[in-house]
Amino acid sequence: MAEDINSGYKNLKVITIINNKGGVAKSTLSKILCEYFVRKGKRVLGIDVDPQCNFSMRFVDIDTKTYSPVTHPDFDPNDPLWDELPTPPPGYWSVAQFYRLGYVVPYPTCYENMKFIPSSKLELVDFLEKVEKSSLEEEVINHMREMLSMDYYQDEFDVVIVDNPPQISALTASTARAATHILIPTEMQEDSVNGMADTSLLWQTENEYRQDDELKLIGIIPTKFDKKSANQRRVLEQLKSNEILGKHIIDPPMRYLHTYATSSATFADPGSIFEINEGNVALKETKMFCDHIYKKVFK
Amino acid sequence: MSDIKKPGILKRKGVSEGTLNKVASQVKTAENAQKDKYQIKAIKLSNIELWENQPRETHLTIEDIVAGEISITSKNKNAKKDELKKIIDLAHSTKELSMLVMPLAYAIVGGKVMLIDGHRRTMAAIYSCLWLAEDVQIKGDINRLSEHAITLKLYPKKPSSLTLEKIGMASNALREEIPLENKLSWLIRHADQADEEGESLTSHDLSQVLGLKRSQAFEWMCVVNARKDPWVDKAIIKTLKKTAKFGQLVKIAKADKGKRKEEFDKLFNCPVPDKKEKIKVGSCNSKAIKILLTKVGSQKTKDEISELNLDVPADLKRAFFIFLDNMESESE
Repeated sequence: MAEDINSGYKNLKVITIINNKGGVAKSTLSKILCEYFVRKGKRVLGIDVDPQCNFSMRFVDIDTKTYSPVTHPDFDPNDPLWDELPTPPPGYWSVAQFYRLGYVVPYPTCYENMKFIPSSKLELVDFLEKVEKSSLEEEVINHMREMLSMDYYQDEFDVVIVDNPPQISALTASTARAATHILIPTEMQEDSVNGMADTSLLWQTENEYRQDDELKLIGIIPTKFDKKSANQRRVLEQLKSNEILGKHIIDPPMRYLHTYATSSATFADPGSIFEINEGNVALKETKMFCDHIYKKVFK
Repeated sequence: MSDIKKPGILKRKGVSEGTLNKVASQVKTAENAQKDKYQIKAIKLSNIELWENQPRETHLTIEDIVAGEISITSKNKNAKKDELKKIIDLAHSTKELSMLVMPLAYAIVGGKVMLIDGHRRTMAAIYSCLWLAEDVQIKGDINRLSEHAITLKLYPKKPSSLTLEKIGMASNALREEIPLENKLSWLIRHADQADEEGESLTSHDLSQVLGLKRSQAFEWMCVVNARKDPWVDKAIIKTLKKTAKFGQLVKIAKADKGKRKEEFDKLFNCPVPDKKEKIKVGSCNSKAIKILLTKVGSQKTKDEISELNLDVPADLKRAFFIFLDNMESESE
């Protein structure tokens, strides 16, 4: 029987964005949700668990040679606290340290009320390999929830947005265990839709484990929707008319993701979709989608 | 022109049915994951919490059971004494026959469980463990509760409110014959609640919860499915007020949508039949009727009934009809 895994959460909401198919816009959605929640006055923590670091690059400087974050601005190599850690920290803090050391200092971002724990490509891949070879999986799965249950995270943030790699692994399971809500993006094509089966299995497994406070599905968001494509229209129609899936589909589908992706690129100007002029259709669509999520999570 | 071979147009078929069904079925399974499944487990008596909040209708507390008697200074001592006596009787019968129906509970933190149903049975088990068991050395020794267990049906987490309500109804249905109006009122409320939560009732639910036979359950389902029709709704209200029979309600619910009004009118709004047919002369009224005929009846009536034997019920009845007919014609 599972222990009460939710005992450490007060009001913190944790949204994990998962689909084990790549390229369905998980990182882009993570970025715009962070920006929207920040603009709504929420204190946001972004966590990037995807070794590709795309989510991280929007908010933290990443060394493009090593795909690791730059040294944390507040890092003090002589801090006596490091003696308590199993290994000395490298000077930067990434999600790899979050798991390995059980300690990170989130990075400040361009937004006052948002902080970020970036990914680190090589370290994270290395860490995952070690987890798979050892018997640490269960510990890893529980790790993120245990970390986020700490007073620091509970008191400093209202919402955590977690971007996942395109695979179901101990790390993805860990974000599902930590989450209060799950969001499943999917493209309107066979592979992406198929990827939802494994994601739902993860959702099921998580709810079978929990005693209280089930992991809630925010919805399935159709992304990169091209209404000129007969096939995509057909897939969307199939999903919407399906008795079980239809009620979870977030409508309307997202059509302007290329605009979001461009606007949230590292050197884009303006640097955010929310800074584009008011009449822009992509901005309207983004606001509609974000507001839907906001209401579902904070109602 | 017609001989030119043209390439066919590729028809986009969307996602294959197999993929769609696989995903939908997995989502459905995930939606319902562990919501309403229970396991059968032996739980130590010390780990059983009897109530989330002490219910008003029960005065007895776990401390009273442990004490084995009601203190004279206790609040509600008379009610408690009565309740404790019943628990002790149940404990004796449980000791003899064992617990026939398992209590229901759900898991809470710290390895404890919260009872949903079977509170009296559990209290009896606690009393039995502390006071009646043959190996009791110190009567009322609370430490024994952590050494003895009872078997429960245990949900891994608190069931949904719909399930809790079903359990309550099923448990009552086991104990007593629930009046039809109560069953119907529960059913309508439950069906509305299920609708709101995007679930639906099945005839299987009804046979399990209300203890109905399969054929009966189908009839009840007809009522559930048609409950939003205005004429079925009216018939439901009449049934709840006991001014209609359940059979009449089923008849209206089973009728085609367009014919429900007609059926309703036929059953409840039909014209008043000829009063002659309605008149019944009960034996207890015969004396009063004889007086009425002889004292109040007109001469014409008296002449017409003179040959009838008023001591014979059939003749008395006939005489009364003549009396009424004459009264009517004379008043006109």
